[in-house]
Amino acid sequence: MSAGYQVLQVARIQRIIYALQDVRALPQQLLFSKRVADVPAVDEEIMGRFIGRVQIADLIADDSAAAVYSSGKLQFETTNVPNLKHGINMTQAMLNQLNSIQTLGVENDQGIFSNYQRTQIDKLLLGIRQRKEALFVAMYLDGFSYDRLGVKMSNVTWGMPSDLKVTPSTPWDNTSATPVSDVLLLRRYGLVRYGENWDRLDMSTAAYNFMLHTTEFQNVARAYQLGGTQATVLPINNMEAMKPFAMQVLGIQELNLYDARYWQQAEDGTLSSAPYLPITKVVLSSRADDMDTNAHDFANGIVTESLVSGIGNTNMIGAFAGPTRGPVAYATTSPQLNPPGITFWGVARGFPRKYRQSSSAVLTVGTFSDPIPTTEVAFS
Amino acid sequence: MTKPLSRDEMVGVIRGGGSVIHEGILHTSVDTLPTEADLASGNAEKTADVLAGIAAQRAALDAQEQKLLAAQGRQAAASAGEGDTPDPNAPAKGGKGKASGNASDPNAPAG
Repeated sequence: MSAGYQVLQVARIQRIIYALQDVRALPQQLLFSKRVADVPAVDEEIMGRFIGRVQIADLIADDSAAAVYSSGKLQFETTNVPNLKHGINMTQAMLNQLNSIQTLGVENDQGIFSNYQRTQIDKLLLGIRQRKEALFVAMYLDGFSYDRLGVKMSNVTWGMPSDLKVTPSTPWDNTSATPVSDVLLLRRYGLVRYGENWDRLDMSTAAYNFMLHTTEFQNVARAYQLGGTQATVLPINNMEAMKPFAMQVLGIQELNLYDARYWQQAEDGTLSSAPYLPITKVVLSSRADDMDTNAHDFANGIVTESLVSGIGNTNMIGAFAGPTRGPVAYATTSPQLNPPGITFWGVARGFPRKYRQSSSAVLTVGTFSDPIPTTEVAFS
Repeated sequence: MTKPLSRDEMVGVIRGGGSVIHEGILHTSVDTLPTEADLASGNAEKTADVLAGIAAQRAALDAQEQKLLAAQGRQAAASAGEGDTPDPNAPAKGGKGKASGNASDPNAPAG
């Protein structure tokens, strides 16, 4: 391989991936990804659901034998592990740039191509992280459906008990709703029945605003004498100012307004966006479960591309040194050169797993719709 | 502003694998849900709707009852008629309670 094309070798691209992961923290908007740890896993366990409980340890006297219990088992939901994968075609301008590097045989292109390559790989990596984030939110909500490019998943469940998927009888966009009672009741229920201390709430700004405008919330807020005074008018339109009060009223330690959205392209090329967290859902969870693999994890499998790359006669430029876990990236060429092109790919293989089904609960607080347009706004 | 859930909607939530909070109580089963009458309490418009619904249900039940009673009456008459009481709705009988063909059928060919 000529020197110019060395930059597309798998080994180099993978080094960029590792560097990006090392030096950059997760993007601010990917809230749930900071809570779930990646753990190495094999295919057979990836889509399984762990059945069994962590049991409290026995007290064992010195020189006595401890009891050994049977371990939990894995219930197979399906054996088809999904790949999180997408690609970006290299632009013609960059192909020409690459050609000049190749022709001159220089390794230093003043950073033009290297920067382009790093940016593209960064985009691929972010795309994989976005898909993981969507899966994590689905796990917290205990519901996931997907139907794209031939992959169909319908009503995937992580086994959350039905009494933790609660709908208040009066939706929060009705001022006579009782959001404070709803949250407090569910928190108390979780504590008494499941021993879960959910001290954190995640909701959309829309749901939060509806909550602030209910008569019950305002009455309770006044009863707490917010700000040390008997306020007759609450600053409910100042969302940030109301946040500490809302946390006090709801008895929680953390309240996140989560409105981040992702974009995806339909098969006809239409771009549309959707929030990771549906705006009518309120998630209750415990901060103590963050990155705790006894609560949940992301089973990170070996990427199949890394297994077959060494067989030969693939379009991959270079080859993986051996079995590699995602996310990985690599470049491929078009075999027929029709059109001539190079594609960067990013891929991971895995699925989130939930070990303690009661580690989160969800309130469906209405059916109100999103006023934000979901399709791309055309520039005029 | 969205209206509170109707009982049917609450049933839908529970059958869909969830639970419902209503007036500070978590309902995980359809059996414990408040009745339509409970939900309408204090709401004149809703009360009228529920009363109309109950009247319609009552009418439907009455109709079913009448149908069953009529069928029961026919059955009792048929059992008794196996001896000597003819059932005006039953086909003509001959011999020992067995149908004698179509002797009483005015459309039947003579024979």
